[in-house]
Amino acid sequence: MPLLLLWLGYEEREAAGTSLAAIVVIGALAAGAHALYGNIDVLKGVLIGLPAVGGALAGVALQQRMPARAIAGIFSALLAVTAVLLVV
Amino acid sequence: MDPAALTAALVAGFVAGMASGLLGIGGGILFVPALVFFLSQSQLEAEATSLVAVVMVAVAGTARQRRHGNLRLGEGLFMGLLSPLGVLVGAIAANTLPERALAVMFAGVQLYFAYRLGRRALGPKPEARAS
Repeated sequence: MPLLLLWLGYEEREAAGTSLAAIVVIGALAAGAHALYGNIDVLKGVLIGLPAVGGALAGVALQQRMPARAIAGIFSALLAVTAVLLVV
Repeated sequence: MDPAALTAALVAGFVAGMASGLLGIGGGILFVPALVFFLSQSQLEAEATSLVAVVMVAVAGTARQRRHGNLRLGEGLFMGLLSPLGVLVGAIAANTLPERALAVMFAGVQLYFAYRLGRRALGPKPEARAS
């Protein structure tokens, strides 16, 4: 998402939407690889995935009502927090 | 299954989905810990299982963003198909460099993007931005 935004000149919402399409492919490829090793518990994945689909629809709806700069700001905060968590 | 843990997993799932829709991320950053803590999976199992939920939210989010006109489908799919190359480079790096160095490098990249996005958030409004 930051790459689309900062390097490829996407608008915030476009970057988020297009990033999700890429994640579908990446996620499916990775899931296929893990499935070969038998690491996936489909039931637990769906259990947590179903409420998440509701959350995603709510998140997209909320995003349409937010200023683009707020989206960039929240993403910035998320990156900063995870960067700190990674090294400390 | 413990009802409290089940409820916590469902709530965590919803929150992860919300973050995914809002920011265009997969949500694994929240799915993985939720699966470990609430559904008693190992780290490896959780990373694998989270992908089921990631694909579900990404499909739902992509479809919804398409309706809002925020999707460049061809470019998104193309980037997704390039990802195995990234995985290959990442796997080679992970096997050559010490773990600590990788973590510090990755955190550095994240902080760089945090800075750039932060400046964008605090900068001029999009309509005033020269594109």
